[in-house]
Amino acid sequence: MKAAGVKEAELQAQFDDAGQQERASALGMWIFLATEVLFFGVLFVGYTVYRLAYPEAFVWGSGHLDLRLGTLNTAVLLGSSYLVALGALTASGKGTSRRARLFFGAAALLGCLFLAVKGMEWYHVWEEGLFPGRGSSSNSFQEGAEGGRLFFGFYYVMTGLHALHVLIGVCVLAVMAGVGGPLGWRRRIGNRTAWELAGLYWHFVDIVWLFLFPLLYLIERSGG
Amino acid sequence: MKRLTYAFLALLLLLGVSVWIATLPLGALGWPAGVAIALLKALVVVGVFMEYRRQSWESRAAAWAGGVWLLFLLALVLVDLGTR
Repeated sequence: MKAAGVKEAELQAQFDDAGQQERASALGMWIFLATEVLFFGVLFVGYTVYRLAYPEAFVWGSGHLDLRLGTLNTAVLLGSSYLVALGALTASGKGTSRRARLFFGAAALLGCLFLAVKGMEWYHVWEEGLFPGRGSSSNSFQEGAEGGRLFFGFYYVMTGLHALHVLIGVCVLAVMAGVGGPLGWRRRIGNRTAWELAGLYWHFVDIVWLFLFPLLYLIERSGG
Repeated sequence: MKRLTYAFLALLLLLGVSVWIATLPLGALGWPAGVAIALLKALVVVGVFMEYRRQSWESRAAAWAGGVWLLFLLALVLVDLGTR
């Protein structure tokens, strides 16, 4: 059996055929993503524990986040995931086609937009004095007290680690979209598997945000 | 390609629904509702964008392993908290 994605010249010695090599590559990525689920999972579980301990403070903290920016960023990441899926589909048909590179390049730009919006939001919250350890001299945390500090601790750590993953994803997408060519990596990114694996990583980053969004931004917005 | 476009539109619709639900006076039910919609969105991404059904059984097992271990972690911590 010979898969369309891996050429004979790229077949590594430990594999019988190209199909086996592709399945092994995909399995490696899925195992990596499973470890990432647990990496972020610990934070989600920690969040849940303290959310149950300080429910009112978490509502107070969430009320200080900009829902419009959070919703915009969710739409931006969903759009980038859509473009990456289109890119992987296009690449699987004709190898590293120009369309696939365009889709991945556009997705990388949306990733940059996400980071810019996130940076802007961090700046606003920082300006309000809502940073654990910083607000001791101001009155920002007095209403939310200890629970408020915990909420913003989780907010910065969870969104910060997620943003780091977005940044890594943007670099991967940019390499696939064209930067990798001048760097001499054209052969490595020239098969379908590489595009699919880059896509899997980006979709995972999207999924993490899909859970961060309601947990951080959508806490009892009715005011009730 | 149409399938991807429909999935994307469905995700945007679910995003709108989750924001709308958050403005309703659901009280304690608001949190589970938000997480349930997030789970639905994640399933669409995994099923359509990540092409779950096209993956080998080994890759599917790895995906399930991540989810199941997360559930173990969450369940054991909550049981610990609930029985103190």
